[in-house]
Amino acid sequence: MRKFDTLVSKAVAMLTPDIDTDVIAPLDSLTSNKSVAQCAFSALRYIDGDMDRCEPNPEFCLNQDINKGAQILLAGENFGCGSSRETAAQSLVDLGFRCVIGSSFGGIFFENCFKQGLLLIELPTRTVEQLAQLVTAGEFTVSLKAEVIETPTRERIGFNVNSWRRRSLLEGLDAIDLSLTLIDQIEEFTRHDKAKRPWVYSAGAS
Amino acid sequence: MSTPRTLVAKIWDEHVVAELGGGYELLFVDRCYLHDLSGPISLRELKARGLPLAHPELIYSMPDHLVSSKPGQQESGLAGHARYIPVLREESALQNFSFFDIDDDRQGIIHVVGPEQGITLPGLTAVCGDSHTSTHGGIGALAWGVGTSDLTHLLATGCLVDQKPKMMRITFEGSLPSGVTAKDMILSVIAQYGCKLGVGYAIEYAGQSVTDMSIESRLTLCNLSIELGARWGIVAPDDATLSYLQGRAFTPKDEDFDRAADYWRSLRSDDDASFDREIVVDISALQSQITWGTNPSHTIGINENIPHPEQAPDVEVGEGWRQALDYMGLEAGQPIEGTVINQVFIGSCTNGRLADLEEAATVVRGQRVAPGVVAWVVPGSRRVKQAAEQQGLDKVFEAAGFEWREPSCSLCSAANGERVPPKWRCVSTSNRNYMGRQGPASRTHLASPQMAAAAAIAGKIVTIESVRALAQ
Repeated sequence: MRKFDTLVSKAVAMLTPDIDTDVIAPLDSLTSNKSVAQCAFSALRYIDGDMDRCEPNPEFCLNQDINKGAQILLAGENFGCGSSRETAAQSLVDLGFRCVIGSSFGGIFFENCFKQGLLLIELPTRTVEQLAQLVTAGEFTVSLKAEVIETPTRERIGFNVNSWRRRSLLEGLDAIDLSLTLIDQIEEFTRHDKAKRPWVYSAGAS
Repeated sequence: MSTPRTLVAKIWDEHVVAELGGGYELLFVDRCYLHDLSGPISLRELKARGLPLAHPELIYSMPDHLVSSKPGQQESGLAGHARYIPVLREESALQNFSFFDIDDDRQGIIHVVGPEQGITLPGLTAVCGDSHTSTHGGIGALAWGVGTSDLTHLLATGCLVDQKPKMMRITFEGSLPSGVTAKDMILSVIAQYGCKLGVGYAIEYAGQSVTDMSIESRLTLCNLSIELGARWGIVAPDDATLSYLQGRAFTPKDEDFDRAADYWRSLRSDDDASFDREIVVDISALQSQITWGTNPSHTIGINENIPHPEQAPDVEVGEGWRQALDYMGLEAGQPIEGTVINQVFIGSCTNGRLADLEEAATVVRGQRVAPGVVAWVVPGSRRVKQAAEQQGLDKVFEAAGFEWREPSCSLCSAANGERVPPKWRCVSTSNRNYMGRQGPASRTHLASPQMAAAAAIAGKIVTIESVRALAQ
């Protein structure tokens, strides 16, 4: 898994609440020849959400020149709610983002983002709004190790990331490799479980 | 004596294999469901890593999202779809896991098939690369959706890495008015409390109306848990659950059933178990619900007016309402009743079961779909379709001018190329009304099967009673 250590970048704000994973990643990228990046946010990004004509909606933040190159996204409440599609996390990565800061996130999306090497930071709504005021002031520095964000105006804001997720991201740990080292424990569990709940294992694969 | 525990905690604790740190645990998963979108992606990832399947005997797979619902059902011919269903078909044969192909009598939408075949059982952990896996909680299973990275992990190890959720209980009080359903109940909760109420929680549903409702209705209730933000929804198993399961193809038989049933009967929250949050909802005056906007919290009763953005709880939410009204082509302050529609979709893992079709048929019988309205009924599985045809429901719908179609996710997610055209308004018994969900610029109104049926007949969003009155 891709590691995350320190990021220095400008940020872009997208504070509308409840932006869902269907909006972030329409299914077209899975079932057509269009790339994930091309389809991302299409309902907001293109006129009439048309992913064939791809006519940019000039009002959408990611279409504005001033925001190009931003690797930090400041998100609205409940960002990434809805579908479990991991292409939503992949969309952000393919659009160049490495970090998303918001007050709340869809639960499945949250886990998927970390799997894709994205750092998601939860801060109070008020703080996210204050950071959004500073997007034109310069670059932000995000340190996962120190758990600190430094704003363009040199203010330092602390954050907390779950210790397991933090370690995984700092060290680029692979969850499957890790779990496979526990194979004996898993087998021990199933041995006992088959005696206790045989009906779980005996359903015919016919 | 041990601390009192919730039902979810009991099932969770039973499945813990190891502690990992930060509150993350390694959990054994009893049922791995693979559908035709996330399944092939994870199977390919596993293959690329050179790893075998840990527990092929616990995998159940079937195509649903990409299957055409056109009568004489075939695999969709769309470019890009060839990467999916054939992979499930080939890998299931190679690696010996269950696969219900398109022409299999058991095929259908995975969250309809799992419960109806007795594959999902009380007390089991069940996972799929699909957020509506919460549906299976209606059987008393601990069931949830994950992304493809987690799904690949499950294939490789038989386990998932996850954090025990916080516990919420939603108790419904009062009796459900006639014509009002589980779909309306859960939509009204999302309307009142918003889409992020349940983030970080597992929700247990309780109350007399939940105990009294059919298993199919419990599945509907649990299905929309994820739209509240909760990955897990559950209803404690009881005698109704056991009756439902008895005799189904994959349900244990004879002594195995009796032994399992003893354990299943113990699966309930302890009387003094504490929940992190408890909510009580009075449903005695509940109206039929319908969404007006672009997420499930944008819901009102059929007799209510579309809200003004100024009425929103805060500026950002209000801005979201404004964007939704613009996208949906609706005017704040207007009654939702009377909104002209173009299309109706009855189906999906939310409301594609036999009881849903029966309820819709009672509204449709003897009536005609309004001119210009495209109306589809897509049964949730082959089994549902066959049972409905045995009762003559297909004839009822077809006589009224509905298309009677083949089992598929179809218009719920529009993954198979079936779409609601741009700017068309569709009343849908599915679970999401997000922008572009049913097709670019499509306009979705979520509702119950009877409300969808009534809209098809009237050609607009109306009360169920007004259409029933036409039949007299």
